[in-house]
Order: sequence, then structure tokens, then C-alpha cells
Amino acid sequence: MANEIIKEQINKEYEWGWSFDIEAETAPKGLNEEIIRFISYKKNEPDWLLDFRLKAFRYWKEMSHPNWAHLKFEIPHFQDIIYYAAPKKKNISSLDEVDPEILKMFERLGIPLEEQKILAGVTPNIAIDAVLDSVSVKTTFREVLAEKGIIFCSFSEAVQNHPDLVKKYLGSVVPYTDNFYAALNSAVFSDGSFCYIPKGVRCPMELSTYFRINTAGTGQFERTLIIADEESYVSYLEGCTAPRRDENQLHAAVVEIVAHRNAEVKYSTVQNWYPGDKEGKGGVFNFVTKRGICLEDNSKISWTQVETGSAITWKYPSVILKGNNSVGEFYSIALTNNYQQADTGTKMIHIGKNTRSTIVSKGIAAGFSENNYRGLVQIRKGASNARNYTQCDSLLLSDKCGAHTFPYIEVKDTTAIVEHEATTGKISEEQLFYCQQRGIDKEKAVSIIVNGYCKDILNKLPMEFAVEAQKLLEISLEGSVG
Amino acid sequence: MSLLSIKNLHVTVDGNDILKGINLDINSGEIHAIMGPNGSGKSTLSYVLAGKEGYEVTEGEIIFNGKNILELSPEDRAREGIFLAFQYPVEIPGVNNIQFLRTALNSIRQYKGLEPIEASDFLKLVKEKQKDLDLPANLINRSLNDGFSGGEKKKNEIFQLSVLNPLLAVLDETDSGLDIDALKIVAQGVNRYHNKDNAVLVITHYQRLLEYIVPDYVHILYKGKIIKSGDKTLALELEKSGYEAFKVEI
Amino acid sequence: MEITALKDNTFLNNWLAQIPTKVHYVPDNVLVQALQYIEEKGIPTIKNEQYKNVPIESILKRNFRNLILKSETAEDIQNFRYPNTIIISNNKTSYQLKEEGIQIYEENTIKDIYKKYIGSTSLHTKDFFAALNTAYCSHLSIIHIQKTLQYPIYIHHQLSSHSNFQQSRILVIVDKSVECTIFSEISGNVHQPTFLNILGEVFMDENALINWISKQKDTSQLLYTITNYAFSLAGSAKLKHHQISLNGAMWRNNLNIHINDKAANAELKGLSIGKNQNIISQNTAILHHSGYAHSNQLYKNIADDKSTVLFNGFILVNKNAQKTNAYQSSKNLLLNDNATIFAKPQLEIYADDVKCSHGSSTGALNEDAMFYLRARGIDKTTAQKLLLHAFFNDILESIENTHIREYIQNQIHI
Repeated sequence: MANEIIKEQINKEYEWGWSFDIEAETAPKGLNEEIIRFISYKKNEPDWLLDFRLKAFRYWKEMSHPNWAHLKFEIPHFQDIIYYAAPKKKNISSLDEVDPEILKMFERLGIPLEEQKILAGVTPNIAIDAVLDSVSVKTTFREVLAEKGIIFCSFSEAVQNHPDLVKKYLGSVVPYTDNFYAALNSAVFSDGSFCYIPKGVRCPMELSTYFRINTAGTGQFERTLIIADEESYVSYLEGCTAPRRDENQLHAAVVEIVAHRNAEVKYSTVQNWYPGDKEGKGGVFNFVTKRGICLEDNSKISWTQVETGSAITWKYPSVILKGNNSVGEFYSIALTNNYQQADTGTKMIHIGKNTRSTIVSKGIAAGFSENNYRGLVQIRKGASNARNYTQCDSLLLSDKCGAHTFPYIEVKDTTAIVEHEATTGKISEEQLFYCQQRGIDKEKAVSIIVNGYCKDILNKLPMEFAVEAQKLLEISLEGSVG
Repeated sequence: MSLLSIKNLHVTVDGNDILKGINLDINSGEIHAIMGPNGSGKSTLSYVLAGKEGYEVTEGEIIFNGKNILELSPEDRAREGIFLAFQYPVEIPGVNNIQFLRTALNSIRQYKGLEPIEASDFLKLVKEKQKDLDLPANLINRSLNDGFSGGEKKKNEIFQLSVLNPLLAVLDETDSGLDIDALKIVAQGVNRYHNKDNAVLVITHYQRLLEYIVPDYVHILYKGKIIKSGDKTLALELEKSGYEAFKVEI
Repeated sequence: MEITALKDNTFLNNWLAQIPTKVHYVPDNVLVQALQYIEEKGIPTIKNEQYKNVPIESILKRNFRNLILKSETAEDIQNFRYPNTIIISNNKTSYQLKEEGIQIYEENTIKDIYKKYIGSTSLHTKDFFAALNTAYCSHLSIIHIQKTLQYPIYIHHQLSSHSNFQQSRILVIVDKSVECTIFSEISGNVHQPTFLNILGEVFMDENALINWISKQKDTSQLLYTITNYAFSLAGSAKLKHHQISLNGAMWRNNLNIHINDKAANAELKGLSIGKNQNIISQNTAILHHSGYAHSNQLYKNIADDKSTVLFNGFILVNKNAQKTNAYQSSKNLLLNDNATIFAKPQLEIYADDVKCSHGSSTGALNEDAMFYLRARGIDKTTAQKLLLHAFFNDILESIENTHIREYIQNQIHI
């Protein structure tokens, strides 16, 4: 019986739960205008950015915490959070040098930050921006990229070196008024990645940001801005982990993507924040606003996400299809186990003509978890010949968990075609028995079947990432199968 | 010692008595056929051998290769060498046919204390068997049974049989839904697999399959009991006179 | 924020002050809950998830600031069209019944045994208008069906031309193994904006079967209707429900199906055709509290002119409802760029051994089919009509009673 299989618990620990002793410079706990001025001062920001932050903060103060998601949790105590933590620099001679402790930490995470190692080894070409707590500690391969005119650096550096670009696009896709956590992020964001692909350039390697929360009691509020100019292409990867801590840590990021004429951006996430322990204690609150705009004709934005971590995941990577013939995609695997909760999905806003969007979501719920798909497909008036196809499937691996589907469909154009399909079920006894009859044990069988169930989406990920994601699914399922 | 020895086997499903005292001995090198009308307990017998849940053995024993297998999990029975070719092979979307087979083969090898098979050896093996069964390459690289036609599914079962090479092959109505060409190919596959060290148990409705897989022994199963055993001529007799004629003999 | 709230309260309080009656047939605890709900929640605004795309608050404020409440005159009651006819008006239930086995009671003749049913489906804690009806609807009709019927029961909600705010509440009880067909219709002469608020609770005992057909149409474009219905199904009970909502200023139907015991079966079909500035909102909730049950929904929605057509379908499968099969499908046609379709199919599943699915498709008429028909010499308008009929005909075809089916078919003008 699938039911029984899943009950037995294997004591598999979160692999990335350790923390390194890296000395950090932190702001005092709490949030007020002084803290915001402190962050801005620390980062030597221009006045317009401080203004942006203060406006966002003042707006946020007037907002009430949203409660519409199908989630149960205690609202974070916003005055108990440290909003700025940066690793202390130790007698470093050059600016590019990174504290060896930090290098060690990222190495243990499997994220090599030393370029020669990457070049010497078999690791494929990936440029990495490593973000530790509030700041970006190292961005690799920037010189190689710079030759092509690609800007890939930490957000703070972009503010210093490319203020016009940042000023032009910051908040243009996700305004600070957008939602509670976007407002909070806009007020206190500390760092993140910035990426600009110039006209006609196909980025020669995968760009990647790796997020790591290390310091206790901190929130992570990074901001990512990706601009793909006309005729350009970039594939962007994002990964994340956090130490195992008993308290809940808040991660409220904002990602903005702008795709100009004929540009294509592919954004892949493997989210593996600490999910809390088996009793549901601790874990990261992952409240993220991710949105891209297909600003001009024939542009394309594609989101792929594999969500296995976090105590709570609350995010809807979305695409505004403004340009004619633009394309938006959302491919998602969300696996929840133990007491994890996920409320995730997407919004596809069709404004331009002949716009197309595809949504494929696979939710897998095990243990006592709650797994929700929530999505909006909106066809505005004038979005003639818009097409959407949505498929969301849920798999329940225990009788204590829940899987829910909340799609919202709004159509205001007669030439639009919108299709939505959803199914919910469990792994069939027949499938399990068939595998067993061929000599495969139950746990392996469940993992094979779940991986098969997710195949379409794993195929969308870049190769190395797909292997990683597959392993992650297997590990996350362990303990749900017995 | 026989390879499979079933003694006085009683089985209930959902409280209903389905098998009521089956006795059957199968030796290595033999082919046995079990024939019977709908509801006689044919499929139940195959599921009980494979260890499917919900089939409760209330009395009797099954000794396979010297081991009482009743307490074994389905995967361990498979690893011991029992292979069931399903009447309705299960579709598992997204799971690659070949990868599945390799996982299965290595699970069985590991049980026997063998190293996992080398990728190149495995590929060679697969190529060879695939050719034997005239399976298109794209078929074996698709998702497991997903969207296969009835005939393709049955061929795929025999393909798995030939790669896993078990001690006992139980063919549950493998002929159902096959056209004559496919039937011949499937039968050839089974005959190619069969040798003096293994045994085949064919469960079928019709005599047709037995023209191609020639049994040493034929048993008639009726209302949960083997009411008559004989050689292959029994199948022909049955075809002519129907089950009705044998009922009278009880 | 506070100023709006104050305004709301003023409007609501003025409004409630105009409705003189408090009900006496509703059990005290239910009444208290309803009043609390009204006070706490107030008139739903568009911020309310359930009323997100239905501007009910502004409709009420625009048209129903002052309520006109008048009693019926006897001559208004007519139209005993079917052998078993029940006419429910603002304050009176009239009936002519050809068959035996149908008991009718009203608020002043209610027997104690029926009191336990009132409010037991908790509609009054789910929706403002259900609460409003529970606390302020003076008239109650009880229909107790004790024998399998040969003819349908025709329930006619008769509208008054004298009142602009009308409420009625019905309680239907169908005994064990009893089979019946109920055809419910709303109609009347409306000369001024009229608000109708209906609440119905239907209890089906074991193995009971109901064919329930609800038809709504009002060409005056002055009638705004909200219905809240709950069907409570005991073991092996079988409900076949048809909701046909045609031209009318506003039809908002909340239909709740409680699967309370094993092997109950609910089949819901709906057809909405929005024209002019119609608002048609179909809200279904299938609540599987017990297992081995089937529910199946098929809703077809058409939005033309400047109409807004909404379908919100909610399926809940509780932990205890293993082996549930729940299906839902909504197909939507948008015929005009000024019209809007909203669809929100929702699944909330807590049991693992279930099969649930929903599908929704929204689009325009198939252009290839249009072209094919026109290439055979059929003009565009006729071709469109043919295709529209083809689109929704299966909904009507599944109405078993021929008279009712034909009657409804004749009411559809596209």
C-alpha cells in the first residue's frame, strides 16, 4: 500500500543544514527609517535609491499582512529580524579577494568560486554570483563576459557602476506598491545579482546566482534584475540553501526580468532552503515576488522551478506578455514533505496580440504537508489570438497531506483560447506492484514513479541542474516512503 | 526437487474463496499450461505467485527453488526468479523503458550479490533481445508502456522477460489482444528464452497460444480447483468440447 | 478605510431597518449566527474573494437604497401549469397537487420535527445573503415528499410587481428511496428594479433520487437574484441537477452539495447564456465528507454583448472521503469582446486514494466549423446559431423529462 509505504520515516537529515563561523557585520535588529538609511549608507548609495527605499518603507508601514494564501503560519515579527548582515572583510589586499572561509563554505555547498578550478575541472561553464546573507561575495567569470558586453555583477556594484540602467529598470516590473513583501524588499534589499545582456548577444554560459543564509536571525532580501536587450538570450540559474536553525528565517526576494524585442530569458530555480525538521519546527519562509515582462514583440520569458525546500513557499513567478507574439512559460515541480506548505503558481497576463503562454505544474505532497497551485491567466481586451494551455497535476503520497488547485481564468477577448486541465491522484497500487514484480523495492519504485511524473519539467532544466534536481527530489522523498 | 511446488493452496480475495486447494509441481525444463473459463481463478494464481496484496493465503504453501516464498515481498520473489508477464501491463508515464529495465536488472543482481551490469554490456544485451523480438528502437526508449498498443505492451513484457532471464516465467493471458503475427513473435520470444534450467507457466483462455508454445502438461482450472491434468492433447480436447464437458466429470 | 466601513454600516443598517420582520421559525442559535455574520461581514465588497467580480454592493446601493415591501394580492397567484404545482410568492405558498405523498407546510404551520433542519446546512455562515435570508425572511415553505412521484413538482417563484425586495426560503425533504423530479422557475411581471433572495435546503434520505431542474430567465433586465441552495445527500442518494440561467440582469447561484454518506452520487449540469449587461455567476461547491461517492459537473457558459459570466467550481475531498471520484468540466464561449468570462475551478483534496480532475476551456466558436458551414451556403448568423446549439445541446438533452426539456428549449433565443 502506498499509504503504508509512506508512513515509515527514514532519518534523513537536511544535507545543507550546517553553518560556518563567518564573522559578520550586522545591523541592529528591527526596522525603521534609520536602519534603511544605515543600509543605504553602508552601500554608498545615491540619493534616488535611498528615496526609493524610504518611499517603499513608508508604503509598507501602511499595509496589512496579506492572508489570502492557503497557508498557516505565524506572521514574522518584523522588528526581530536583522536586516543587514555582511561578512567582515579581513585584511584583504585586493578587492577581488574573498575570505578563504567563505570560499570553503561555498565549496562545501558544491559551488566553486575559484575560476581556475572550474576551468581545470569538468565543471561546465557557469558564471556564479554568490550571495551570502545580505551581500554578494564573489562573481565569477565577469571578465570573460565583459568582453561580450555582458554585465554580470552584484546588485550593489551595478548601483555604483551602472546607475542609469538600475534606475531605469528597478521597480519597473515589480513596483514597491505591488505587495506586502515586495514593498518590504524594496525598503531593505541588501544585494543580489544584476545582469544585462546587450543587443544581439547570446550569453555564452549559464549565469547563476547562489543564495546562502548563514547568520542566525537574519532575513534575506535580495534583489535580482535581469535585462535582455533586443535579440539577446540568457539562461539564468538560481540555487539556495540555509543552515538548520530552530527559528524561522525570512527570505523575501524580488526578481525582475525585462525582455526586449526578440530577446529570450530562461530562468531556472532549484530551491532547497531549509524546510524545518520533521515536527515542522524551523525552516525558511520563502516569500518571493518574481515577475518578468515581455516588453516588446517576439520576446520570451520562461520560468522553471523545482521547489523542494522551505517551511513555507509563497511565490508566483509571472510573465506580463505585453509585446505582440511574446511567449511566457512556467514549469514547476513543488514537492512538500513533513509539515512543509507551498502556495505557488504563476500569473500570465496577456496584453499583446498573438501572445502565448504555457503552464505545467506538478505538485507532490507527502507527510503532513500542504501543496497548493494558484494561478491566474488573464486575457485582456485586445489581446487577440492569445493562447494559454495550463496543466496542473497533483500527487498525494499520504492521507495526512493536502493538494489543492486554485486557478483563476479571466478572458476578455473573443479570439482567445484558454485551456485548463487538472488532476489529483495517488501513485497507483498497480504501478507499484509492477515495479516490485520486476525486482525493484517500494522506496525506489516510488522515487522512479515520481521522477517519471516530473520528467517533462526536469527536461526543461539545464542538464547539470536537472541531475541535481532529480537527486534533490529523491532525497526530499526519503522519509516519506518506507 | 521441483522448481515450483504448490501444495493445497487456498486463497481468498475480499473474503471470497477463489482458490480451493491447488496442487501443482513444475520442474525446470518444463512448460505447463493452465486453462480455465472466466472466474476460475487463473489470474488469482498468477498474482498469488507474484505476491500481490489483497490475496490472502489461508491454507497451503508455495515452495519455489527450495524456499517458502509466502512471506517474501513481491520484489524479493522477483529477485528469486519469478517473473510475471502481466495481462494488463501497467503504464508509468515519464519513466524510461530502458532505464526501468536496467534498474530492475541491477536490483536483481544486487540481491544475488552481483555487481551492477556494465552500461556497454547492458546495451549489447538490450540490442540483441530487441532484435529478437522485432521491437522498434523508439518503442524501447519511450515511457514505460505509456501509449503502447496492446500488442506492443505484450511484446514489451516478453522483452523484459528475455533481458531479466528469470527461473520461472508466468504468462498471464499473454495472448489476449494479440493478432496472429504478434502472437507468433511473442511465442518465439518465449521459446527462445526457455531452456532446461527454467520453466514456463502459461495461463490462457484459448488453445491458440499453445500451438506455438507447446506445453508438456495442461491443467484445467475450474472454480478454484485443478479438475484435470494431462498432456497437450487435453487442450485440443477442451477446445473441441468446451469446459461444460469437463464439469460433468467432477 | 474606516470611513468606508462606516458608510457601509450606515447603508446596511438603514437597509435592515426597512425590513420589519424577524423570523420565529429559525432556531435561536442559527438566528444568532446569521445576525452575527451580517454584522461582522457586512455586504460583500469586490474585495471579498467570493464576490470579486460581482459588484453586488454597488448594485444594491444604486437600485435598492429604499426597499418597497408589499403583500401579494390574491389575483396575482395563478399559473398552476403542472399537475403538481407549488407557487411561492413573497409571503404565501399556494399549491395544487394531483398526487399524494407531498406535504406542504408554512412558517405558521411548521411542525417541530422540521425545525432541526432549518440552518443545519450552515449556508448562513457561508454567504451574506444566506445569512440575510435566515435572519430576515419571514416566509418559509416546507415541501416533504414521502412517495415516489409520477409527475414533476413545479415550484414557481412568483414575483410581485409591487415589491422591490423579496425573499423566500424553502425546505425540501425527500424520504428514503423516494424518487422525484422538481422543476423550479422564477418569473413574474417586474416593472422596477427588484432584488430576489432565495435560500433553499434540500435533504435527501438514503437512496433518494431527485431530478432538479432550475430555470431562470427575466427579459425585463430589472431582476437581480441571489440563490443559496444546499443539498444534503445521505448514503446512496442520487442528485441530478440542472441549472439553466438565461437572460436576466443578475443571476448569482450558490449551489452547495454535501456528500454526507457513502456512495452518494451528484451530477451537476449548467448552462448560462449571458446577454446585454447580464451578470451570471454560477458557484458550485461539492463537499465530499464521505467516500465511495461520485460527483460530476459539466457547466457550459456563453457570454455575449456586454455580459459577465462567471463559473466558480469548488471541490473539497475530506480525509474520510477515500475512493471519491470527482470530476468537473467547464466550457466557456466568449462571443463578444465587450463580454467577460471568469472561470475558477478549484480542487482541495485531503484524501489520497481519490480520483479528481477538472478541466476548463475558454474560447470562441470554432472558425473552421463556421467556415465549413458557410461554405455549404449557410449564412453566418444561422451558422453561429447552429454551432451554439451544438455547444450546449448536450446539457439540455440530459434533462430527462420531455415536457420540461422542450419548454426550456423554447425559452432559449440566441
